[in-house]
Amino acid sequence: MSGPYFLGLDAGTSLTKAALFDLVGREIAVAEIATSISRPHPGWSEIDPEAAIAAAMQVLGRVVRESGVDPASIAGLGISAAMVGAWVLDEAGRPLRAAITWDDSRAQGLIDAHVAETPDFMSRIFASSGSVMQQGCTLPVMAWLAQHEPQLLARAAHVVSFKDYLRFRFTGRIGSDRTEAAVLPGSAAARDRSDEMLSLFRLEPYRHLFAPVEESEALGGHMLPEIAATIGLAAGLPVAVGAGDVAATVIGAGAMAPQTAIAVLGTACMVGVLHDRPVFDPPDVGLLFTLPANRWYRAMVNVAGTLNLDWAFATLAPEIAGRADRFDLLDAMLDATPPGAHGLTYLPYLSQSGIIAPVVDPAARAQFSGLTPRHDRACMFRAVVEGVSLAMADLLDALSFQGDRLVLVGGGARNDRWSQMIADITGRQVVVPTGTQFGARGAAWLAATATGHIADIARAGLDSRRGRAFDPASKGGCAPAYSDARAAYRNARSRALGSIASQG
Amino acid sequence: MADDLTLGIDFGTSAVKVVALARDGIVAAHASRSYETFKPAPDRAEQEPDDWWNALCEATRQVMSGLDPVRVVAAGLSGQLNGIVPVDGDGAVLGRSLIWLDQRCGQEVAELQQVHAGALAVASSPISPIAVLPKLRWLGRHEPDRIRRAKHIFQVKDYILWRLTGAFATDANEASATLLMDLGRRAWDERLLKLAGVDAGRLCPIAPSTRIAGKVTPSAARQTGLPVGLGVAPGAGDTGALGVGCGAYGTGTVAVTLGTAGHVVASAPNRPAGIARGMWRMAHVTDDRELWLGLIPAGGLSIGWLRRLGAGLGGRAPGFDELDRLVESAPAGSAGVVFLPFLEGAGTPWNDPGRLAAFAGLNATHGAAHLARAVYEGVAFNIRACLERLEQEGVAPQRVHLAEGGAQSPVWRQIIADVLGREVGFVAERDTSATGAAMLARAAISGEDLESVIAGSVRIERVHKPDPVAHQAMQAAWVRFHRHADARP
Repeated sequence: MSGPYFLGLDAGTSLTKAALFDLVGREIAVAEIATSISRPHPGWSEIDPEAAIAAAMQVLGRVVRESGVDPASIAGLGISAAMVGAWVLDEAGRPLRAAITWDDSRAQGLIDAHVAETPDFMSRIFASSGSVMQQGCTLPVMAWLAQHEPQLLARAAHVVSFKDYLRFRFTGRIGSDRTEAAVLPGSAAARDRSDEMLSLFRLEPYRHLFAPVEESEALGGHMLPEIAATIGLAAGLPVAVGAGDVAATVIGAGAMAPQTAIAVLGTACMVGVLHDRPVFDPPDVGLLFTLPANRWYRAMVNVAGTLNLDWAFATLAPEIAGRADRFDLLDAMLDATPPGAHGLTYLPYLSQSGIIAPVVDPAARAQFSGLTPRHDRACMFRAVVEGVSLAMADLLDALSFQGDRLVLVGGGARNDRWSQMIADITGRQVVVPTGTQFGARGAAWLAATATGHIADIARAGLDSRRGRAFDPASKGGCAPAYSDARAAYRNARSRALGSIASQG
Repeated sequence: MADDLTLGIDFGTSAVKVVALARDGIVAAHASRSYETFKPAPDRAEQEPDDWWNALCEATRQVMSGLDPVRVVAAGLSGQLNGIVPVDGDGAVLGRSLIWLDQRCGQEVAELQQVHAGALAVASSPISPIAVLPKLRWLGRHEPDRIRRAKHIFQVKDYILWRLTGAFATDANEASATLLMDLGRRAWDERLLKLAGVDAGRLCPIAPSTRIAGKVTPSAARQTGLPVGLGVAPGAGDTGALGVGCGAYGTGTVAVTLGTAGHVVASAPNRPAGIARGMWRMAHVTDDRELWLGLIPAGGLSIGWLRRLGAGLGGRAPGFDELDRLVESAPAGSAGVVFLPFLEGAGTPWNDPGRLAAFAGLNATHGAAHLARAVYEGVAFNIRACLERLEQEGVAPQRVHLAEGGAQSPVWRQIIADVLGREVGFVAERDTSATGAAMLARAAISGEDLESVIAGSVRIERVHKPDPVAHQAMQAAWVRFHRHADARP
């Protein structure tokens, strides 16, 4: 096959990944490189823009070389990256300071002050954006900069997000897209920034800094010759506007059809449902992402994904935590224990800041309950895996999901037993799409759309969502084998989030 | 007579232990022999009385083999509570003994609770399938012939006393556990006997723990190697003997043992009959006081379970020293991790078998050391909950003596001192029921006051003082523990 091929770049806070795909989404080559954030003060999370661009060029160069394809057969590049935060640039596009990431919490005090002054502050934001605003969102970070670094902002000409900065460096064009604009916070209904939100943060004086909003799947420029030469690509390569990483992952997983649920079972666990209209229910909890093609992704993140398994390995089985065959050993432990783990229940709330879904509870913590002398380490591991799965079912319930299919991606989806368990517990068919780099694939498909190779981004993945399917033991409901476990989980969860957690 | 010895003979659940104890608390000789527990059904647990006797003979012969027989001046008994040994008129044992672990009489317990709670009040302890009363009621109903033919119904150590000496005697401590005794009068209660379907004539008379009840017969002497004519005191049930062996006899001393189950044993003044919520009220070894018992069903088992879990140590059971070092590497309060030590259900003061063990308060920064420390602390908090329960009942604990099983861990002892905020003494002797029985024999043969025997014979090997900083951290952890432990399951 001689192409056309498309490059997708997915830049995160800890990994920058690139992959090359053909038109139906097969991964031709993948490369990744570890990147780092710096934490100059507690709660700060920053990226050196030069290091970010160097990492991006390095992985792109590697993937092109390792793929062995003729660079001339590569028809486009799409960029996706970690969302929000703030990349502040001067008139020439030079960064004025280190970039601030989504994970930065310096604005918490400012948010607290707003809430003290305007008790419905967060609710007003939710009513416009559909999301419980995170501290690292662009507007609170900008408001913090306006307070603490006004001279710097006086010299600023642009504020963009991570992927926009990469596009600027690759093409010389400044702009942003709807997936970012609507979550600054902005307006999910308008699929754009919101003047009301800007004024809520008293950022009207800085309105001019925000770059023009374009469609993610539009052509965003052409690769500058010196960049193309360094990477090993043809000069003038079309570059799509691109999208935030959540949107790109949903696109890349082929989950754009309304009433499709998609879960990203990574370190944290995000579960959400695709809609063809912005959905604000349930209010004041969860997130709403604006996607291309008039789609919205209503999601909940419970900070309770594979981190739990990593923790269990480190704490309960350190002697196998570092072993390459640890997942085989996990399988053996899962096989050694029946569903329900002999009555042992695990709540997967390991974050020190508690949970934000299905309810907001900063005091929620993980627990094992129902322990008896018969419980061994294998039981505890099964309980952990079941606990994460049951927490996902909780989120689907909170989202009032009515569909019969759940697309599952992320590290946890690599384990067949886990995928089957999620199918059995949720009563939904679990589909694990083929591939490993969904964010990069979504970005690549945006490039394919921008260059006219795909007619409709909403349909990009639909004909290529081949993957493994796991049918539920009982359709539409929890499998009998897990019904006791589910009841015990709900009981433990209600108690933990009720009487115990609320007392601090 | 300065170096004379008394023997303590304790029939535990799995083995008989025999010690020869000097006046100053030094054990001159000891031996132990185990016997089998038969489980013909999941709710049944039986032992063979001949097995007890044979084990005893081997153990006493071993102890006597290294001693000049003239040094041995008396023997005292102790034993597992609530075992039944029916014996016919010819002295033949009628089938295997139902021991305390036998749970077959659940229905009888339910009936007695529902219909006869009023009558049970004089016994002053909560009814469960452990007790002799519902066991006898079950036998009367399901094996009436066995009860009809029984001329004598012994309990474990009383059967042994009879075989050693031909005497019939039990003691008030053991009798109080059967739920057939009126605790206030220290006498068999007619209404309760009727509920059990037996008359007092078939039970052993209740005799003082500290008086010689009989002398070893020539035939028993031949078999056991004990001197002919050696005086034997009935001693006490294992709780009473353990209380004596740990010094929990005088006011204010509480004994805590950390065997498979944990026991909190305190001496208390006599008071009117009635149930003390979550605790067992029993007769102590003298008529002037009661013995109160708190139960931590998985007190020591929690550590055994933790070792099996291989928490943090290479997937194998870590040694106790290794576990101690791991625990020591985590801060007091386990950085917020809470362990509820209810692997076998919650004992005193919750008394709720449905409330099970848990690790709570976990976050991603916690490691194996925090979990392991939380287990040590969780049992310590359960001890504190028992002591608070005692205080609520007006029994003020002043000193705590730790013994057996987990008490061997210096790290755990210090944690307990830090949690309780008071000094904790370590009783080095491992078989405290046996040494307690030997002290009861000492009081019986010498006429010496029991309190002074105990003062001279209970050896506190080490005292742990609470560390003020750790205690402060434990106060906050105690609040967390309580919140989780008290939450409705």
